[in-house]
Amino acid sequence: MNKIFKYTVVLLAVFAIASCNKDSLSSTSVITIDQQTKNEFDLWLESNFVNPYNIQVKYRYDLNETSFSYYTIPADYDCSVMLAHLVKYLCIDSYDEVAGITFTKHYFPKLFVFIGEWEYNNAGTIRLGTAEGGKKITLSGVNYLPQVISLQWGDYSTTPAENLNHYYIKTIHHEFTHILNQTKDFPTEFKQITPNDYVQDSWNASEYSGENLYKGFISAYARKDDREDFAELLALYVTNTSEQWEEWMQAASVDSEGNPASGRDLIETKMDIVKNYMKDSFQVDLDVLRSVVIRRQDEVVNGLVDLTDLTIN
Amino acid sequence: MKRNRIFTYILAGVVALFSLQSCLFEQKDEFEDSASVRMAKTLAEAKTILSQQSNGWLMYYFPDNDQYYGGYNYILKFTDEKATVWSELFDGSAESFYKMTTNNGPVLTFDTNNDHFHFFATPSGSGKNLYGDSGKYQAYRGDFEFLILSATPEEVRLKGNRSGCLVVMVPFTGEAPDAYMEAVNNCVEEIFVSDFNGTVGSTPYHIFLDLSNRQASLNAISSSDEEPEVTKVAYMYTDKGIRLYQPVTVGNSTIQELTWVEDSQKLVGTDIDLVGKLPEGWHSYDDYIGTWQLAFEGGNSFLDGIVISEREKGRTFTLSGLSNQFDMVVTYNLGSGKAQLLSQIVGNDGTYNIRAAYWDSKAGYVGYNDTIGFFLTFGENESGVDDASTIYFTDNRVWLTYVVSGFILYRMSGSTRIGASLAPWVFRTDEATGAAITAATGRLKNPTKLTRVN
Repeated sequence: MNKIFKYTVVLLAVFAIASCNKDSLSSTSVITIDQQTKNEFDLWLESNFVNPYNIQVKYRYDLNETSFSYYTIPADYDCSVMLAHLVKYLCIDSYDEVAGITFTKHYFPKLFVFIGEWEYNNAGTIRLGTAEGGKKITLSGVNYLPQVISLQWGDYSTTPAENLNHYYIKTIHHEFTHILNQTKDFPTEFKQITPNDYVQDSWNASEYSGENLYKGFISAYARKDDREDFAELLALYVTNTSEQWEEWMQAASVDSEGNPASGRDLIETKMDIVKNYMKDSFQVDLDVLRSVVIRRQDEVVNGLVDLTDLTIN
Repeated sequence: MKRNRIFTYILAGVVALFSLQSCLFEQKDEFEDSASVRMAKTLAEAKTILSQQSNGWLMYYFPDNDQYYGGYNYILKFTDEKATVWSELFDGSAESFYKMTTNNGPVLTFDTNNDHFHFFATPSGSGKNLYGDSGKYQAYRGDFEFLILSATPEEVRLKGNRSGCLVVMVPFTGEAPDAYMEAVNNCVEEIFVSDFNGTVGSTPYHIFLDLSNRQASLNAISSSDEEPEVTKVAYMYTDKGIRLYQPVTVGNSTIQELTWVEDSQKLVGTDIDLVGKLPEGWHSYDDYIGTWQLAFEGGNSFLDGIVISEREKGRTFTLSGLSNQFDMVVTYNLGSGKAQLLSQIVGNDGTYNIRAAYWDSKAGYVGYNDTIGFFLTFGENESGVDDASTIYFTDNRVWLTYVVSGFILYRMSGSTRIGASLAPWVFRTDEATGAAITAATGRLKNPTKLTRVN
């Protein structure tokens, strides 16, 4: 009896929710989209990024794409044109050449966000780029591009190629590596090689400065954690010549007091895992990729690539 | 069983609640169009208003949540897609894109970099950024995205997205943006008085201007001893005077824009008349110009034919007659009305610069810093009244360890001194008396005062 009563009440309740009006659905959406005339660069992006790869380059400031933890400003139009060419020529085209366009279409991040200034932490350090959710790469300091290429900016100024890599291109390879890792995790053995020397956010503390190589880390930032270590290895490997790499390896063989150190062995063991990971999971030979990337960056630095040309083929 | 009954009651209550619905069929829409359509319409209207003003808009721009840096002028000309921007801080103009968009309301955003417009929003780290700033990771907290509060052809009112500052734009009525900005910068230079007293309506009134931070403090002057109630508000310069961030009401009068009258050092407006009070010891630029006789310590030797003449009006003088080979530069500060003769490079000898280095002739020390030297201060006569016919040399108190008492000429490579004083570069010796005023020819030892000849 009680049960029947309960069910009746529930049933009544359901009926009671019903509306007594009949709204006809309008055929037009109530949402409108910003109408923006496409400029020359927009059309170039459409033909070089959107149509072939479904990659969007947001060079115009979009507050919601920026990090609210930093004071950011819009990227410069002319600098954005140059950087988009660099992303295409040095990264997308390199992966196309080595791994095939399907790989690039499938894995390459779908959204680039350009920010004019560097993202400054209140400690004075700068954040070069970030990757989010396997889809989006934010590149900051875009307005410095002409200065970086002409070596008028940066304390890392050895060659234009190194400077470019340091501030932008290495970041893309680095973040792309994170995206690949998010798609397919790297072997856990990697984490066991130098498990006790990761220092998280203290990576730029003075007590650790100058000791990364002989401790088995390719860069200071690689000491942050194993994921950054992995990404730094890949990014630095493909953007640097074998001579530069060998120089680092030799430096990794001695510690600050000149005694033999195991840095080289540690880095090479890690690098083997990185290479095998790329080969087994994505059929990408890192040595081939490196030769392609370096050939292309030489072409850029030697002025063989017009970074401002917006003609659509 | 008891719990079951409670449950039943609750259910019955819920049923009753749902049954309370209305069956109103004639519910009218408050607006004809959807919110999104209305927003698009507002944006389109605002855009039309902006771009139809072919002479451009004058923007009263205040960065920072508390308007800490005061305000600055921009002139903007909008086309369909782009904005051309003039600023009082930089020469010429810069062009970039702008866009009308939405973000909790209609928003005007300058969404590609503009070297003029994004200055106050551009942060910096430990090194110098492209503007030469450093150590400002929050920049000047300036805005480049604005909520549109209202837009009419007469006035556009905006609110900075980050700072919340009110930014007003009015149609630019001047002929050329560059000329307007020049007039603004003239006001920045000309208004050197910071203390103003006078009346607003019938109220005795006082305004103090913090000239370097563009902050005004305003108060009515009361006859009693009570502490006056001070209103603090940021201000900016215009082509004619100053403008307060927000109007201040005094009785029936409103203070917002004030016109600078240079001749009488006044700030005036409707019903407003405020006279600037000069700092003590202030002398005009022109007071220094003329021919002088230089006296040295001891009073026995003199140099005639010392001439102070105009170099950059209001800023620097040329001081000639100290040497036959070179002139020196005297700087002038409009705010304090004081002049300084500082250590400086007076010429070069091959690859080296010749510097007049400051010198403590008694202790025997020298130095090579551009900020150290003499104040050139007007004296007072016997009755204590300011006397425009005598200028005294006094140490400018920047060299704290020693006292500047003269100059020595040295060859310099950068900031490094090369060798001893250099024979071919000399100060004049006293031709009239033949007395050796310079122990060695490269030294100007213990000058004390200038007396006006004409």
